[in-house]
Amino acid sequence: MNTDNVKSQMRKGILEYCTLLILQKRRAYVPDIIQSLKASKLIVVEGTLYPLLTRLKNSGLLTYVWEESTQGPPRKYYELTPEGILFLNELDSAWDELNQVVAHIKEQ
Amino acid sequence: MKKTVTVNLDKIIFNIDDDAYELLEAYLQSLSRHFKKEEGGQEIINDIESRIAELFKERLGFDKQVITLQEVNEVIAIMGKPDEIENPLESETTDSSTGNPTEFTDEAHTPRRRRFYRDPDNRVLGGVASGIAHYLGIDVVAVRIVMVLLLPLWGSSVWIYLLLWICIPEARTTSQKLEMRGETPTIDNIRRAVEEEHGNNQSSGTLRSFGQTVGEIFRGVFKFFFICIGALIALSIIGALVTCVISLLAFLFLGTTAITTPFISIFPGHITVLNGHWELIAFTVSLLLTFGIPLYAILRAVLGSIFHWKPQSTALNITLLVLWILSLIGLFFATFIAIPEQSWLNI
Repeated sequence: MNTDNVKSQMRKGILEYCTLLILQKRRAYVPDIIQSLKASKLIVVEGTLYPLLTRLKNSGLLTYVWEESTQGPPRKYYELTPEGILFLNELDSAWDELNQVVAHIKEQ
Repeated sequence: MKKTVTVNLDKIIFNIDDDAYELLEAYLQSLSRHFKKEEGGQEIINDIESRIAELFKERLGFDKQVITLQEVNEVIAIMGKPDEIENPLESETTDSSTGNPTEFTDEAHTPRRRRFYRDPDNRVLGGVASGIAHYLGIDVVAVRIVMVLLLPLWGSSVWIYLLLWICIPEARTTSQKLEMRGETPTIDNIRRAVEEEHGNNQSSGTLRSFGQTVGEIFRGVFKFFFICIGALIALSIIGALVTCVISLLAFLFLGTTAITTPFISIFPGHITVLNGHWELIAFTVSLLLTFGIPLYAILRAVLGSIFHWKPQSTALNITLLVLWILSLIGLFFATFIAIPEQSWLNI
């Protein structure tokens, strides 16, 4: 076992959760999401996010609107659907639960 | 000076260097291979393409109008290769450990079957010899020596050479050249090959040695002779083909007597009755096709290489090949089985 591997598994597990969290505050364009995720070392390359967002969109948690851009082709801005908000709330409570479990075990 | 290609990325036009284009194409193909099985795969690819278009646009301006290798490399680094996309953190945290092997470290070093291509970069005529050398992993000089040594055997190497020249495609793209050398066309390998080629072009453009110039002149003279010889071969083959066609037509419309006599007389015995036997019809048609199709193929190849014709379609090639094999079988059958059984044949 090596620690890097476990750490990367942990980060991988919360990637979707964090993406939804970012989108909860404001709708965002993919590079914006990437900025936040990169800053927190959750992601290395931009390409990772495209399949992730498409999967979330196809399962009805996200939707997008097109916006014109001065720099190139029109951009897709992603935002949460009502279903996505419910989903995120569930994840929130699951996260809190996990935190409590870890804290509890540490105290023992 | 460099050649550029025009591409359309998400409805925006870019001028992109030839070598950079090959790398970008290889990259997009690797993505599409990776995502196409998955639901919404095309959408993912479109999103990525659109982002690439945006990144390119950011990098262009009045003083920079062409996408070069550098931009493509930057964009690939930003977007990530398929394995980096799927394993977002491993490429950073677990380089040489137990994590999934990345595309580069794994595939590139496993021996891979080579493909037989003609090598356009190292050729005298059609690049057949260096193609063979790459395929067998030996030196091209050895192949050329063997070819010269085989020459006294009824010029067999000439015929083999012509046949391979016709049948074997040329390695045009970088990924084909990699396959020719037995390397996997991964993005990293393509990048390396493209950059190497790029370097070669530059050196030959700035400093042309005397030897290279002499070589060019020799090649030009040789090519001229080759065209002359080709024209002679072409003319004689055209003659032979016309004879074949006329014989065939004459045979079909006038009957067998006019045509088969000279052919049949090659075989032992006398043929007293020539008309109205299907065996003879089969024999004649097979005979004409057996000689006609290779003649046509050689003619097509010779003329094609002189006038730079497009290669004919694979379907036509296969049809001709099947027809030729059938005619060989027919010829064999007619000569050794059907005709000797006939009572009208007085042997």
